[in-house]
Amino acid sequence: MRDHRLDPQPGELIDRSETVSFTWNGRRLEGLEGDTIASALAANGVRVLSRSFKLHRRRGLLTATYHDPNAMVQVGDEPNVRAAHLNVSEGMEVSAQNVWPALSFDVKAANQLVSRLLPPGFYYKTFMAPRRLWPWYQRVLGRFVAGGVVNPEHQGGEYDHRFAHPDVLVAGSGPTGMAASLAAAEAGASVILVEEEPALGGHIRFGDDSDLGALADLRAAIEGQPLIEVMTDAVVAGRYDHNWVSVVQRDMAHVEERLVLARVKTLVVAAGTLERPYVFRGNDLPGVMLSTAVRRLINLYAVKPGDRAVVLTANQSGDAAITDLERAGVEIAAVLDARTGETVVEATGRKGVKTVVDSNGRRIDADLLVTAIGWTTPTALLNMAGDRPVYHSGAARFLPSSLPTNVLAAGGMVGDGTTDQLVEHGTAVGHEAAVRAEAVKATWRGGAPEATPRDIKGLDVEDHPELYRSTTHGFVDFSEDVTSEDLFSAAAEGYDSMELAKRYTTAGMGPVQGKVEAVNALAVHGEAVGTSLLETSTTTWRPPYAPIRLGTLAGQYHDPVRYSPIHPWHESHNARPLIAGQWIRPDHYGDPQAEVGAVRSSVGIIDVSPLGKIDLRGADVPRLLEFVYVNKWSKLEIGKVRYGMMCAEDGVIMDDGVTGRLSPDRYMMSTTSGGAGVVWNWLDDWLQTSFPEWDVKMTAVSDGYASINVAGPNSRELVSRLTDIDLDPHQFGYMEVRTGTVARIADCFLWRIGFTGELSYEIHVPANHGLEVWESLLEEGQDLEVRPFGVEAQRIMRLEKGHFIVGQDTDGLTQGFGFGIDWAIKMDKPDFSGKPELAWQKQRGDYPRLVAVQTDDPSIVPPEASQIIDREAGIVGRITSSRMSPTLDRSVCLAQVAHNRAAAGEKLDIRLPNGTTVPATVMEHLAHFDPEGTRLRV
Amino acid sequence: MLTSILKGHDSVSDLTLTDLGKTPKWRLFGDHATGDLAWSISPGEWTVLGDRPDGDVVDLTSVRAMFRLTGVDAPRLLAKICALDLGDDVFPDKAAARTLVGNVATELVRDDHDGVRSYLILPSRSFGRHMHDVIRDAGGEFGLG
Amino acid sequence: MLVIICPNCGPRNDNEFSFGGEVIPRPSVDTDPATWRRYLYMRTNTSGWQSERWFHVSGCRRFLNIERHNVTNEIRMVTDVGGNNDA
Repeated sequence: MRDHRLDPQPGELIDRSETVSFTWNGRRLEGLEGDTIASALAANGVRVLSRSFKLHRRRGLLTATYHDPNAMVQVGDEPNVRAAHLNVSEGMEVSAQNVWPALSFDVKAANQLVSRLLPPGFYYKTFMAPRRLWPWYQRVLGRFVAGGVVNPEHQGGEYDHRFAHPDVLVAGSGPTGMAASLAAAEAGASVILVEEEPALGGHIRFGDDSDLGALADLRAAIEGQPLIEVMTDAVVAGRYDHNWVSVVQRDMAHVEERLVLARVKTLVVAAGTLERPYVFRGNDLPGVMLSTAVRRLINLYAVKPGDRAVVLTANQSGDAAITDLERAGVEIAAVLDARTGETVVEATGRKGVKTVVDSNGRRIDADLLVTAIGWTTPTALLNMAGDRPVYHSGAARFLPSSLPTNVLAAGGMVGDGTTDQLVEHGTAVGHEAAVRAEAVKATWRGGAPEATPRDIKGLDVEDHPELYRSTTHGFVDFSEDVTSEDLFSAAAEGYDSMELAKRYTTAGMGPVQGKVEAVNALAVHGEAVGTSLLETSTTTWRPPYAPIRLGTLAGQYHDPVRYSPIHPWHESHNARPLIAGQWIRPDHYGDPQAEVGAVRSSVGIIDVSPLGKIDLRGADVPRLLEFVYVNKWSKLEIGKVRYGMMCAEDGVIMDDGVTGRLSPDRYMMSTTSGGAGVVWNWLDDWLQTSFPEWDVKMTAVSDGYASINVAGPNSRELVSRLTDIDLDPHQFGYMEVRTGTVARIADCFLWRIGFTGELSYEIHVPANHGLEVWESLLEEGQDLEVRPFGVEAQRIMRLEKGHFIVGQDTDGLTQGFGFGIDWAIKMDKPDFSGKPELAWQKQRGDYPRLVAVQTDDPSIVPPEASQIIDREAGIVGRITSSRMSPTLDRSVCLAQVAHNRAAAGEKLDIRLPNGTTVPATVMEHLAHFDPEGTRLRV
Repeated sequence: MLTSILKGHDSVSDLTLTDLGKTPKWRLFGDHATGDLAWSISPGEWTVLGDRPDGDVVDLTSVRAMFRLTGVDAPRLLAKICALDLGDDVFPDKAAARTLVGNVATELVRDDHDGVRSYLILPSRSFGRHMHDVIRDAGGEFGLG
Repeated sequence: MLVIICPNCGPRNDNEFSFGGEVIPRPSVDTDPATWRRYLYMRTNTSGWQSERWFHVSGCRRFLNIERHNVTNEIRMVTDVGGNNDA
């Protein structure tokens, strides 16, 4: 194979002293350090990089950039790698995609022979019917899916995020972007300069000697400017509200990719222009390249792109390419100057370009056809800032129309110019960006901005011919294999709107996402429907500008997880974890039924630290309690606790718990574990927005106390061994609270409540000592056979006892009445949250009732959410909780039942998931076990 | 030029992360506070470290975990897990905020030691292990072991 | 991600806040069902400038009144419901 490497070029990125060995489809090749995969392949004379998506046509380099639709390859187990962007490295295994069995002989290339039979919409139309064949269609089509091979065993890599707060962020580091960064920094602004390619400079990297001189000067100035942070091989993926800008950094030392989330005061978009391909028959043959692609190959990688070239030029880039090609020793077979009306009609050849037919009918032998017919403005970030770019026929591209004050467009985004003119424009824009950033910061400090935004004079536009399609048909979208003929036939079928035609033909929907093809598609579609769409349309680019890996979006994501101070003990004692919101709790320690037995017969302890605890102080705490609970609170004595239920303003039950009065002006409210945050916020809402004059000082102290419920007939005996508090039932009765020491730990409070239905003391101990107290209880209770129990045992016991759980036995429509505590809802209070709705609920009377239900067959446990059905009335209720009760040795349920089916003794039919129905009976009491509550009040 | 401050940073870091969970901490209600270190996030409420202050006080010692992160790279590490601008002009020494750190609402106080950047990080106690994991992961590239 | 200039905390990202929507005064509890349910469920659904309630839940935990243009997301006023507005 002949070496296509040129003699050293002044701006080359390669290191000729470092050879890099890699494989291409299993064949060993050599490149140089600094080569991209594509340039290394080109240096080895490889012209065909891929097969196309639908027709499996041979494809070679087109744009030689990240966005080259033909240069996506498989690297190792990673598919769709951008070969013209990623540098080749030692040992890299590169292979072509979309080939079977091989790049040179591809069976599916037969698609080309039947391409007439694969018009747009072919798949939609052909595989619609019959429906029963879809599974088979799916299998066959799956083999034709484009792209590389995903390795499901791939281990993935590390990704992370970083927040940034630059005054100015400049997207693009051509002469404009570099000058803008320097001017902003000189005005005192902190700057992030983002460049998609691995080095600063943009197009002047492949410019002439004076460009290279300017590049060296700008780079040196940036190097010496501490206020500029440079991010190369990084891309601004999106711009969102208030200049929230995301940047993906690709070449990182510690991670595969990093997502930078930047709050930018002024965004400068200096993204330059993208060169646009020309549409003509054979425009996708290997050897048809854009002028910037050959200039990149020659100047950056010292690769000779062909031997004999035809150049179609409409602008200075084409002219410069001629100079570069001549210097590289490429024979110029013909120059077609579009400014004089010449153009290309067709390129022919089998494995690549062999002959070019021009508009004069000449047939020119050539292996390279270079086109320079115009530009696309990458307006993505401007679109995301709300701009609707307008078409400028002189420039043959879209230019920005109006931008918010915190976004500025510069350089090629707004016009054309020499390097000096671009630097001058960038300097003016950069300075203004710094001034505007300072104004933003002034308003953030609460002051008034010192300056008003100033308009920066734009750049002139270099007029050149509008060239989109020749007299023949060719490819518009290379990645989706959509031709101009397809767009014409879509128009003929009635898809006369670009938005519809785009979706029908999939033009612009491939991996390049319109960067190469969108404007051509618009022009061709306009031609097909007979109007100039360019004049009346705009281009819309949505984030992200370039693909982002899912790992990058996730970063080092940590889902916040909460642990009780006793968690280390649970972990070392075989607790099965239960994920309860953010908390990890012990579900059980191996045998929840035995845990129930231990509590019912002697004593058990459970870690209930996640319970919400809110410290309330101040003279108006009783007023607050009166308002947020449905029951009475005005006369809560010191040392007493009371159960309370909270309803929202729509009367729906939102939480419940007990609140105790610890001292004359100190109350402790408890909430459910899941409701802790909601209730805390809700109390703040009432206090701040409705009752700001009330004297209430609230502190959320949930995490400050480890909470341990000691339950069972021997709980008094166990707790008495560890506390200085008098536990005599006449001194410390049911629903009372005391403060004191437990296991020599001061500042504990204990309340006697009974969620499990047993005598129990809930000990709240300063969290830093929670583990000590837990271990002391187990130690001291050995002779009582004390046993830890988990959430599951607690749920069984509370169900046996008929205590409901908000959110389990209630739902988003469950209002206060009907849950066994109607007596507590005090409608004679002047005002409380939800009062009107509760009054109307009571009046209606037709609300569902919570009842205890037992199946006639005690061995059947109807799953929770099983429906209760009636032959005539349909669904009349549902099971909200169900368990096998080890205490009663039978199944027990709670259910929400229609009001007219809720009477004790009522027979119900429960529909099981397997479709069978089982008979059940409504019980007299909510409690299946100890309805009189004698066990609690001992 | 800063070549992307977090990129390829290979210097041996002197970052340290210390657990100060047992330090006495107090919520003081009032218009002003004195103490070793005190800050106010919300009008009329202070967090005070050290001895119990006089006045209307709730003990926060067990309510909050507390870590101290010290070292020149501390702000770079925090920039990976906290969206707050930690620049000197916005968040100078002794500045305090309550904000999201590692996706958890957390009090954050800058408390430099001998001119070296140092931050106190006070999440709710139950998030302590989570916060420790988040800081350690973010600190890997700075040599925080 | 919006920036909200909290009067107590300074500029913060909107994910530190919870959105409370249009500010709707609470009618007397002795009112008729229609009025009460307008309070619970009905919103004017303005397109343009709107007075909203936000809660700085991960910051100062203060409730804020905000004037926001809900088409452009421009924010022109942020005050603490308690009237303490020294930034």
